[in-house]
Formats: sequence, C-alpha cells, structure tokens
Amino acid sequence: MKQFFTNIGQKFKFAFTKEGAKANGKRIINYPGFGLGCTIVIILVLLAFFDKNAENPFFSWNGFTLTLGDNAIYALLATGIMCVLLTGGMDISVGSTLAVTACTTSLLAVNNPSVPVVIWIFVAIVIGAACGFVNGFLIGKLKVVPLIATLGTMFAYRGLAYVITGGDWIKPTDFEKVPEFAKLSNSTLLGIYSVSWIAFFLLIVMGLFLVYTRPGRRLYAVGTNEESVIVAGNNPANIKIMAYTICGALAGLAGVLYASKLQQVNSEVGMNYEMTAIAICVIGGVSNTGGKGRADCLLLGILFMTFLTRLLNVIEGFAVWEELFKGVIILIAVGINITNDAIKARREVLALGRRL
Amino acid sequence: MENYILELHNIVKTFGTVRALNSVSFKLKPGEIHCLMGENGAGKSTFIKIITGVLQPDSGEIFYRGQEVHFENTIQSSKAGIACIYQHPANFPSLSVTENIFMSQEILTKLHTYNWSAMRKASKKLLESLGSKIDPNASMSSLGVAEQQIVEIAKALSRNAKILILDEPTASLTKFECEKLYALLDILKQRGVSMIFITHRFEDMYRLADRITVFRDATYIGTYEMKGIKESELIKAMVGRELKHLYPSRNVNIGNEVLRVEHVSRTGFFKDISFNVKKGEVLALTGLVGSGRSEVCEAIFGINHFDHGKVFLEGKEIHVKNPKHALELGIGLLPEDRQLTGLLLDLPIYQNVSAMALNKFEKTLTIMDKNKEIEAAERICKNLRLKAESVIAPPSSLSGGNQQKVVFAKLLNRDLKVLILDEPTKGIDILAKNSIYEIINELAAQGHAIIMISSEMPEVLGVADRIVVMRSGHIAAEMLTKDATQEKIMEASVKS
Repeated sequence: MKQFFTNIGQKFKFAFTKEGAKANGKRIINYPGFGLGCTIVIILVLLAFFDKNAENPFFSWNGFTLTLGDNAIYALLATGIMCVLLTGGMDISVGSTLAVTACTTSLLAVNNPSVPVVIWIFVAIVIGAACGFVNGFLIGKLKVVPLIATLGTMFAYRGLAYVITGGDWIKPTDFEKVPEFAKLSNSTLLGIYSVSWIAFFLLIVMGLFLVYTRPGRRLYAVGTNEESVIVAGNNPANIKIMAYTICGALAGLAGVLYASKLQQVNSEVGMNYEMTAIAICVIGGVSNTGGKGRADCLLLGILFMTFLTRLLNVIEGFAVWEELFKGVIILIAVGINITNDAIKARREVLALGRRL
Repeated sequence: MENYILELHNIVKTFGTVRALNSVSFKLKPGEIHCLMGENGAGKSTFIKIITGVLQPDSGEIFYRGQEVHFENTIQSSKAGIACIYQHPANFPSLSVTENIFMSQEILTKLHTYNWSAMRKASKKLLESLGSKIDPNASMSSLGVAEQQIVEIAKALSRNAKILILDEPTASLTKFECEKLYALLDILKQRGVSMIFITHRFEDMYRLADRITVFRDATYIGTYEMKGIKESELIKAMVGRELKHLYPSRNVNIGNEVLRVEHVSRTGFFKDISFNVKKGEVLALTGLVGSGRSEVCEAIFGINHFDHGKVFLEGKEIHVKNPKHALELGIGLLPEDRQLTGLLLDLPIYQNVSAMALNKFEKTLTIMDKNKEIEAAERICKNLRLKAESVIAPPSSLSGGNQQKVVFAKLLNRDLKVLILDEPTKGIDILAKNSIYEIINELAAQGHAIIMISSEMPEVLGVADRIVVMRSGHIAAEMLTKDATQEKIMEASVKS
C-alpha cells in the first residue's frame, strides 16, 4: 500500500517536469476518446449560453440530474448493445424487449401491490435475458444474419407486449396502488436519481467484465476473427448467445426502470430507442464490424448524446430541426472515426515500411 | 516405438465422397525438422488438422510419445504440447500481441480475472528470448507477416510445445525474412522441439530439413533422408512424372521500347525510379517486400499517383488517371492477391474473364451477349490450358494455379501492350508454376512487354530477361539475367 502511494507521488511529481508534461500531453491526445471529449466540452459551453430554462437550467444541480436521469435508459441499452456490436453483431430488438418487460412488470406490480417491488427488477432481467437468449440462439446456433434475426424478434416482441397489455395503457392512476414502484427509478442518492446510478454502475461492471474476464475478452475475439476462435478451442455460438443474453437482460432491466420512471406504459413504449442506443455506441467508438470498443469511451458517447439532446431541446425554435441535426452529427462522428482509423492504419504501414 | 515422438498409422479421412487422406502414415523423430511436401490439394492441410485435433480421422491410429491419443480439439492437443502455425495466421488482428500469445492460456489472478501485468511481462520476456523487439502492447494488425509469425512461435513456446507444425510459413516472406525465420527455427531445434514444416519452396527444404515426406493425391508417397536425395527425384515424387525443366526455355525476341518510366517518385513509398521495358521482354522487379515494388506498379496502373516523374508509352508521354484509363492505354495489372482483388470468386468463370472488357460483349444498350462471352472465355481458357469442368463453374471451385490462369484470361481478353504481374506464382504448386511460366513465355513471344514482380530468386533468374532490384524505395541495381546470380541480387536488396 505504501509502495502504491509513493508510486503515485512520483508520477505526480513527474507530471510537472517538462518531459512529464510532454509525455502526459501525448497520452491525452492519443486517448481514443480525446476528440469526443473535446466536442462534449464545446456542447457544455453552448449549453451555458443557450440554456435559459427558467425552472431547471442545465447548470443547476436539479437540471443536471434530471438530464442524466432522462437519458439513463439509453445508457443501459447502449451498454448492452456494445456487447453485441463487439462480436460483430447487431441487435435492433432491444426497444421491443424494453416494451415487453415494462408492460409485464407494470401489470404484475399493479395487480400484486403486496409483493416487494425489488422482485420485479429480477423478473424483468430474467424476461429480458430470455428474449436476448432467443436472439442469440437464432444468430449463434442457427446462423441467421443478426440484422434479420433481430428485425424478426423486434416485431415479435412488440407484438408480445401488445398481447400482454391487450392494447391498453397502464395509467398513472393504476400505479398509485403501488407507490413503492416509482422509487425504483426515482429515489435519489447524493441528489442523483437511482436510474442514473444503476446505469453508471452497470457500465463500470461492463468495463471490468470486458477488460479483465475471460468471457469478456472472448467477445472481442469473436468480433475480430471467428475462425481463430474455433482454432483456439472455443465455440463462437456460445459466446454470441452470451452477448445477446446480456444485451437482452440489460434491455429488460431498462424496461422496468422505464415503467417506474414514467408511470405510464403501453405496448408502444421504447420505440426507436434501439436506434438511439446504437448511435451512442457508434459515437462512442464501438466498431460495428466487431472487435473494437471500450466502456470508458462509451461513457463519453452517452454523455455526448445526453448533452446534445438537451442542447437541441433548449434552443428556441430548434425542435423542428432536432432529428435532422442529430443525424448529421452521427454521420460526422462516424466519418471522424473512419478517417481516424485510416490515418492510424497508414501510420502503421509507414512505420512497418521503415522497419523493413 | 520410443524412437518417434509422433506416429500416425493408416489415417483415412473423407469429406463426402472426396477422399482427402487415403491411408497415410507418418513418423516424426524427436528434435528433427521434417518437411512435408506435395502439390496443393495433396492433403497436407487436412493432415495437420488431424494431428492438432481440428478434424478427427475416419480410421487410423495416432501415437504421441508412445501412447495412443485421440485429440478432440486444439485445446487438448496444445495441452499435450502440439502447436501449429497456420498458413493464414489464426490470430486476432485487433487484439494486442500479449493477448494473442496467451489466448486460451491466460494468466489469471486469484479472482479469475486477467492478470495483465504478469502477461505483459511474460510475453515481453518470451519475445526477447526469440531476439525480437516487438512491443507486447502493439495490436497484432500493426505487425508484418514475419513479425506475426514470431508472435505465433512465442505463443507455441509459451505452451511448452514439443511439436511445432508450420504450414507454409515462408509463402509470404522475403528472402531476408526467411533467413531470420530459419535462424529462429534452428534455435528451437536446439531446444529439442520437433518440427513439421510444410512448404512449396525447395530452398526451405535444403536449408532446414532433416527428412522429407511427400504426399500426392491424398496418398503417402514416401519419406526420404535429406542427405543424398536429388532434386529431380523429389520433383518426380511430387508431381508423379518427371518435370524436365521447371523454367521452360524460350526464344527471346526483344523489340522496341514499349514503356519507359523516368524519375518517378511518391513521397513515403519510392523515389527517383527509372526503368524501361521492351516488346517481347520479361523484366523482373525484385527486392524485399515493402521495398516499393508493388507501389511503383500500382502507380503506373493508376491505382495511386506519382508526385514527380514521367511515364512514356511507345514514346508518348502518358498521364494515367485511373486503372480504367490504364487499360484503355494498354497497360494491365495482375494483382498480388488473386482471391481478394483478382477474382469474383463465386461468379462463373466466363463472367470473370469478360469483367475487364464488358463493352466488347454488349449487344444493345447494356445487355450482355452471354453466348459471345462464353465463346471468348472458352477460347482463351483453352489457350491457357485451364482445367475446369466448364467456364460456367465459379473460380472458387478451382485450384490456386487454375484460379491464377483465370486472372490471366481476364487480362488477355483486352488487347494489352504492357502486362504487370505482381507475384504471379505466389502460393501455387510446382506443376502449376511451370504452366504459368509457359504462359508468361508465350505472352512475351506474342510481343507483350512484361513486368514481373517476384520475391523468389530462382523464379526471377529462370524467367526474366532483365532484373531490376529495389531497396527501400530506390533502385539498387539493374542487371541482365545472364550476368546475375542469387548472391548479386541478394546483396543489392539488403546492402545498407
């Protein structure tokens, strides 16, 4: 422990020498999320100028935590989708999975007010995982193309949600029977909503899972070179099933938190949420061809999307332009990622040429 | 029994109705380098997959260190001490060197999480023991083929491999890199590792092998002691008949200059390159991989551009805008990677052949005249002695040598003056090589000017009329083949 602190002390001292500053500067610039971080700063500056919201301006604790809370659902979905994208897959059924668990848990909670509400979180995770498992089975074992498989289940799960609710709304008045249910998402710790805490905690867990555990590393391996995974003695189908199951479980959790947060649910909830979540992943540098992506950069992606949505909402008369603007920004982000990769690849080729 | 570390008896493996291995036997002595040779499709790859447990034999026995074994997957075989470096490196390009080395053998902490720092240290130590300075944190995709092989060898060593199988490791290496690999394998041999070395190159065999086993048409032909075997005997064993001359002779009839390149440069790739090529001449462009050979040719063909310099075609200066323009002018390129850039693997052969001359076969508007296409393709393929069931079959059904012939056919469908061939015999077997050389000779005799990029010294000396050696983007030497020797070329390409 003492050694640890002296090490940190030395590093700290080194950072203030000339070489230290240079080395650290280089490290910061080479950090894959550097560009994204810069744009987040720009958005924050713009927010300071434009956000004249009278009740809860962004730069007040209330406004800030509300913004984070509003977007935590997307963060959960994006965390799951990252898993799938790493394997070179795709999942567009998470919005529907969210609807299934939101509807199921709401109905269960409303009709069984005496059961402790925490149970519904586990129920939602199990249902979501089951939905994800079906996706994984279709894609891993039956070799259906991911986009097509999840396109099918996207409609199927949405239909399932409709069957469950019978097409009716579960209204705020119904939720009054279970006042505890609202606390799942809306209770606060240090002023921040529990839904944000949960999303943040799970993102960190995901980051550790991806870097330090064997199954986590296998996700990257499958995404880079499936054949080599077989040669290395693993079964790619099982790894994919795991990825989709995790993704589904997170979407399921997002469903119950959504219901708890908004207290107003029908089978149409969460529509197009998967698209925003995928956009967050892409902006956060998760490669859609697999094998590349980091949880820390995804966090930046989530913050970027959160702040950007807020910004586009508060500029007066801008609401009409919001979607168009978002689309263009996503394309720019993707463009930057591609050029970055190309520049890096070129630099590597040149370095290789010199070595020869 | 004890004299052999690995023995295979009467191995049979069939895929559907095709017999991939027909009662093959093989014995490996401890600490020897055993070359496995044979044409493409002779069953070598299937054979090693059976040893490593990727495939299971239909019948036959495998003895490893005197005990009968049945490997069901590569984890079992690698635990037992058998490692394999596949022809197409079976690695994970976007993962780090460390992770590639320790894939499936990770060093874990007490909590069963990755112990990254221990793995980094261990991989650094391993790489250093092999005399390599590869950064363990670098991503695999940033390494060249030779360096990737070193990583694969390090991986094998990290598992205490007793047997190392190398599947055509030298196929995409330059002479210089090959020498490094040979030295590395010598070190391993001293450490007592037995090696099975699959290759098409006789150079590898002469340099390394203690014994040689030859396969042909899925059957075992024989095992020979390296001492006292003649090349002609080996070739005979491999192709089943005597191949008089690997490099067929021809009547050289060199005419006027067709293409001249003057002082061309491209920043970062090559500088001040000048050469010319005449009608009926084969000019070899050689040097190490990465010396800028392919880049010069790609620039002539319009894939890239020059920063400075001029190109003349039949005395007139030309400015090639793009490959389409180059083809219109009469310059054709046979790309290095035939599967990736040379062919549409799953389309019929005739469509491949006419792909570069589509307007030749247009009926009205843009509708293709299929019959005419097929006719032309059949004529050209017949001339090239292409072995295919019909021109309607896709190239993916052909062997490597015949695939290459389809790429040639594609070029011949246009009336070209200059042909640039980038490694035309890469990865194809000796019999097919021979017929490719015959094709090159015929093309030259018909009056084409040919630029051939090649890393194989004997090929350069056997086929070309004149040799240009490149070194790190410059022209290091130019010589007539009759004055050239392997040593001279080597000296020019590595001299610093």
